[in-house]
Amino acid sequence: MSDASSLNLLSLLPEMLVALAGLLVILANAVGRDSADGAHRWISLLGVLSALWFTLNPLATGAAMSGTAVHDGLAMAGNTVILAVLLLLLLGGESYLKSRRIPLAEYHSLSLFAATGMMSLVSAGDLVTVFMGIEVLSISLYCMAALLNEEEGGREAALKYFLTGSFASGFLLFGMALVFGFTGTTNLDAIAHSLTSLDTDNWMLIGGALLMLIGFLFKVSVAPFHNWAPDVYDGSPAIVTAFMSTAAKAAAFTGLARVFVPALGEAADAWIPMLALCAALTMILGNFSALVQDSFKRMLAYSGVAHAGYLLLGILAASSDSAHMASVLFYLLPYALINGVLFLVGAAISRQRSGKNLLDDFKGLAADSPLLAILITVCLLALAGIPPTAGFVGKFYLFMGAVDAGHVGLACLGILTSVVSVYFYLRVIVYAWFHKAPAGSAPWTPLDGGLVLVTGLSALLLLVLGVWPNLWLSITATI
Amino acid sequence: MENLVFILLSLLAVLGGLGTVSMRNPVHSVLCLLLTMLCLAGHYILLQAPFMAAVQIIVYAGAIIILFLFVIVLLNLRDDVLKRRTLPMGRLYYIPAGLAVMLVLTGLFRAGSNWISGGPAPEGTIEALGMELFTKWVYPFELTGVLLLAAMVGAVAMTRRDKEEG
Repeated sequence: MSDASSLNLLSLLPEMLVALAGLLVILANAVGRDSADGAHRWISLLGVLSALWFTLNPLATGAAMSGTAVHDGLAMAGNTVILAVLLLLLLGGESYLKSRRIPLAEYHSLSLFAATGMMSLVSAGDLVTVFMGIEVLSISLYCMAALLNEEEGGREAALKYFLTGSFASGFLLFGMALVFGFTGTTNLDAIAHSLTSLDTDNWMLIGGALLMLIGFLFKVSVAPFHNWAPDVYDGSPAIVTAFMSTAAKAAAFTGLARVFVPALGEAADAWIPMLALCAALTMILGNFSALVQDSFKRMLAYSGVAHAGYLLLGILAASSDSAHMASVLFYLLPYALINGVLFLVGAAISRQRSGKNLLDDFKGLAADSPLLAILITVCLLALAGIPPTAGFVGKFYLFMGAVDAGHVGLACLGILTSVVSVYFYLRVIVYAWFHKAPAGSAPWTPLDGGLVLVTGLSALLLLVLGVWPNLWLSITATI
Repeated sequence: MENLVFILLSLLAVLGGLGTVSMRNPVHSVLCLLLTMLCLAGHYILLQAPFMAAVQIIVYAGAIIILFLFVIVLLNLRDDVLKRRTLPMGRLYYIPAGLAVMLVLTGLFRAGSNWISGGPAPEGTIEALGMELFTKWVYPFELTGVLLLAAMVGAVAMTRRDKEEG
């Protein structure tokens, strides 16, 4: 630990390694031209693995850079999730990148820069860093969403993402300005400290907090600010969707938790009703919209919206007792892994059939590739929250937290909508196991080994964490 | 006096912002944006940050707005499209624009004379700004570097691919 005034550069090592890897990827592309295709991946892998190592075994912790960054348990858990997703996509996404002719240097450098933004958001100690982190990750993701233009709608998705994202940033920034105007500081600790002595029943503070909340809710695609998500997730390249629906969401949730629970906790009366209402709306709208989707990608997008609602329950619980933050962080890892895997595998399977990411593409999967069918089944069951997977444990902690915090109605709503969600997850499983492949479909070609490997590892991790949740909980609970 | 200037500048800035989104002729839209930018520069002067005001005028009013105008000119909108959409009493809009320029210039002169008279260096000077930026705020500042690089890579990626296909 160190005092807030020092630089404490070593604690920023993970961020610096990831950013450095991004720079090296650009450099390798400039020097090696087309012969550097393999190098991008190896540089990224090296950067991500070393960053992951120094995240889990930090050389220094605590406040850094005059308090604009803080490396605590929250930052550690958030960084781990982000880096795990990056690793997953690096190992499993190679065949997708090649088959869609996505420019490799641009993809890899942008994903590393986006990760730098996410990591600095997760470890932000100041509203300025929060905003910069969000902008770095958003701008990188806007560009990544536009990397694919052979398909119709690729650019449209990117433009839609850009417009709604900028709109959300405007809300966020205005809210920050009002909070700064009220408290006179942008440092999160200092805001929390000054709110203990100020009268929190002030329109400037309440307005600022609510505007910031709207900005964040846009970013994590919570109803009624979720309309952009299905279109953007559907129109972006699957590997980018896998990245933005998992790592970006995890980062934004951790950032939301960091700003609202400790810093604006004193003003909780102002933002809790709105958060509770949005959580309820999100769980209902997300799950019922997912019911009627024919596209696997859109179904996952709406299921992602629904899960944002469950995660909000955790934030609500944490606002009354910060120990419940662990349940949010716990759930982020299985959620991120499952969605990362499912978007990639779904795209790979669909490519062999209709190519349009339809749910029908899963028909007859078990006959073609029993192993893949088993792995996908585990992932979907975990997403539905069925024991003995980590999804069940995660949801259990979230709902328990909500009950502890006195939001019994919301917890019941969460359980009921989870039951609804079982229908659309099971539909895919039933298609895979009990339906025959449509007549005239092309013979099955085995998927890329790396993709099957990460799917297998993720499924294994889901089961292991489902039985021994303490492996990950012990890290998330050290906040 | 300061409050009056603040209110005037704010009103003009909001007017400019409204004009930017509501004008149908893109050139008028950009000029309205210019008005907003100038008023923001005036706000910086009120906040005793003359350096920020100068940067605002040079970068936004000088470089970015001109870039916008170039793009619009290059887009080559046809005359009949523009003619139908000209503003009623277009000349009247010179009045707020002129007012804004006047306010900013007066502010700059006033701030400048304070400077020369050798009072205590206000917070908005280059020295103070540099010290803050490279000590306390160095981490967000470095992040802006990553941000610009990412935006540049993205822009290159998108435009280069278009050329290959075309």
